[in-house]
Amino acid sequence: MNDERQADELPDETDFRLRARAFLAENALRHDSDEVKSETRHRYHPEIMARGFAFHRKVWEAGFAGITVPTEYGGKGLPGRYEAIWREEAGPYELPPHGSGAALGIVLPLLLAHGTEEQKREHIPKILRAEVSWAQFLSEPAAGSDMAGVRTTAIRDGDEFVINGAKVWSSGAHFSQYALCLARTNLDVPKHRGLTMFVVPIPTPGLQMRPTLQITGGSEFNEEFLDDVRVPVDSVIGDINDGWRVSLAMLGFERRMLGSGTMSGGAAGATPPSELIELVRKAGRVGDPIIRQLVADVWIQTAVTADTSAFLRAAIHAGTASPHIGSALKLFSENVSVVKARAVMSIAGAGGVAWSDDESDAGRWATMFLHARASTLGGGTTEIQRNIVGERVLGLPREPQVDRDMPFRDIPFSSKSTSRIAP
Amino acid sequence: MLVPEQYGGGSVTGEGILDLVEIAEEAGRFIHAAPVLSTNAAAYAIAQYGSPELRQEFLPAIAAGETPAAWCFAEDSGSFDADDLSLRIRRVSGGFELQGSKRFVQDGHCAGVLLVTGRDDDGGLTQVVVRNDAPGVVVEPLTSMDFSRRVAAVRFEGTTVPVEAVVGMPGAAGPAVAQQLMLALVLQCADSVGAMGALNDMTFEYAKERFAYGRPIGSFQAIKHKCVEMFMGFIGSQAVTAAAAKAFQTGDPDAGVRASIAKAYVGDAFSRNGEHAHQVHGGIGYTWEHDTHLYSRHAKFHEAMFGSPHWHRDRLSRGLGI
Repeated sequence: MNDERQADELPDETDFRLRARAFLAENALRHDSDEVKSETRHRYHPEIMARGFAFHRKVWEAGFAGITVPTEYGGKGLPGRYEAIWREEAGPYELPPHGSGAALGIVLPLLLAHGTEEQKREHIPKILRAEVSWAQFLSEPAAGSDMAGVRTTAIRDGDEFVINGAKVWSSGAHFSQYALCLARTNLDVPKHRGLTMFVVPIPTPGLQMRPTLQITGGSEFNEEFLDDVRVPVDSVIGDINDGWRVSLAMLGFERRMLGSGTMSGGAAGATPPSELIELVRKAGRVGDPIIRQLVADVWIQTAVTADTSAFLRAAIHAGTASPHIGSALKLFSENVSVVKARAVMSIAGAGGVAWSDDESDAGRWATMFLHARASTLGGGTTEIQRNIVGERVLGLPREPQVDRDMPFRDIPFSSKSTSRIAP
Repeated sequence: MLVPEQYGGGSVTGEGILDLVEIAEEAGRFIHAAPVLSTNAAAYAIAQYGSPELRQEFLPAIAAGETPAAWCFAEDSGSFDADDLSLRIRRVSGGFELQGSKRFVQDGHCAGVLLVTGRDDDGGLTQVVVRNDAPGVVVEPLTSMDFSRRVAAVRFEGTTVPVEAVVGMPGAAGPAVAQQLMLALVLQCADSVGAMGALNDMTFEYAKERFAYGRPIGSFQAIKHKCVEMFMGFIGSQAVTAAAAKAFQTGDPDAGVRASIAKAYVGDAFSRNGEHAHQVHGGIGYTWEHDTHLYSRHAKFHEAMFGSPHWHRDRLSRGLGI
């Protein structure tokens, strides 16, 4: 793959490292910098998104985008060790987001693994140049955890597919130009065998998108209605009816992307929770023995989470750890969110549930508490992650599945309407 | 592992703490009763803080396995906080005189060599080495919930030791005691990790083999999720203990914090795993003959010794100024 280049054509590794170091020092902020620590706006804030795209554009111009991606798709075609050098140098920095993150972390490797030549040449250069963001149209009102149970249909019509259905919880779709869309192309076979993955452009006739208002009052996600959306046959990634295999690959890349995020906080593990300490002082609860337990527990859970991903890092990179160990790491990090959210509410007390709008932390703890509900649901619920760890890591047997071998048409669904969010 | 080579000791890799941690973990898998923690805590103290003469007198025999050693630290209150100690080690002509009692001393009645921590007349922490057959030493074995752990109460009724028996700065042994406590915690956690690993293996195996309602009980989500919690507790404990051991080995200024973080997490995790193991095993795990209770007893013992998770959390927060 990348071994075509002769050894003497490869850039000097030290030189590469020093250039990377200089670039990052010039263009990126460190994790422990004041700007990063004081940033309270959500990552999908337009300014933050714009800054992110600008940064990744510069990364591409400096020659650090797509380090291992073959040159015919716009990459540098270098061996993996150069990617490792870049990752090492980038460790202390909080890299701005590349759109929703899906394009770089999921779509790019997915297309390299399962895309056609045309798809790779069409899309990968644009991703590397930070000209596009991608969304994922996966979950539906009636299918979240059970992703293989999606009901959006894609019916063949000549050299097109006609897509009809509804999708929910699509991060960043409102600023994306493309979406991966999982749809059903065969209703007469068991659910896993009748799925196809498509590329859907945004906007496109028949596609209606609306922001989803979440319990925190914010809107990080969208819902989509696909009403006779037409896409050409060459929008299919992988083969027709082969979408489940492509989905599993996609989930693997997503897990890897999220996993590398949790692995960056090694040294941070021993850092005490300064936010909480400040709150304890402000709330006048210094010396309260119960508060001491809560604060220390947040510190401990954070440290254990960081220590565990550091401890497993070597095995993960060497590929000797279970490919599903990422689910275990996710359980650790979501637990931190929950423990921290409960702690802040306990510390804040009545002041956490009612406030004057001109207070400095007005509503902050309530929002943090509500937002923690997303960590145990998004990217696979706690219960699903536990099933994955139990079955794929510990080897415990699966529960019998009623719908596994039934034609999709015959699978029982809830008779109650689940689409409260639809008009 | 922590005794210098010249006295008959020596580590495998040159990093004695890490080597010892591996041994402790392996011993933990079998809930081995060998006095790994006790002997090493005392040996470490003598090796680090004892005079050359003291080291020569005691370390070779300890390293050769001729005599176990024990650390007399906690007292009747059960507190492992050095601030709560009241056993008197007072300066007398020619040496020190000990007056008072110690309790919850691991391997206290098997040890020929006792490291004793107390306070002098000015309240300063002082440590001395005492032979268990010295006049005035009264040892009373206690009954331990943990079958693998022997524990004793040790009373000192005017026992005297020569001045050379001192370990660390007389009246100012605080730093030595802190280091010894860190070592005890790291070894305890390592043992717990090993034990948890064995308990988990046994439990998951049972969940795969025991059938009910026509299928393995591990296929039921409630059982499966308990197993997953046990797994999480194990890998988290393994990682946090490794971090604490490394910090201690390298003399990291954060080593004390790391040790408390490890003890607080592992203490809770091992105990919880014990409860889950009983649940998964059902009735058979409630019988005397089955191994489950060996582990759950061991977990509770470790939880209580050298500071409970609650105590360590409180200590961590105090360290943050709250």
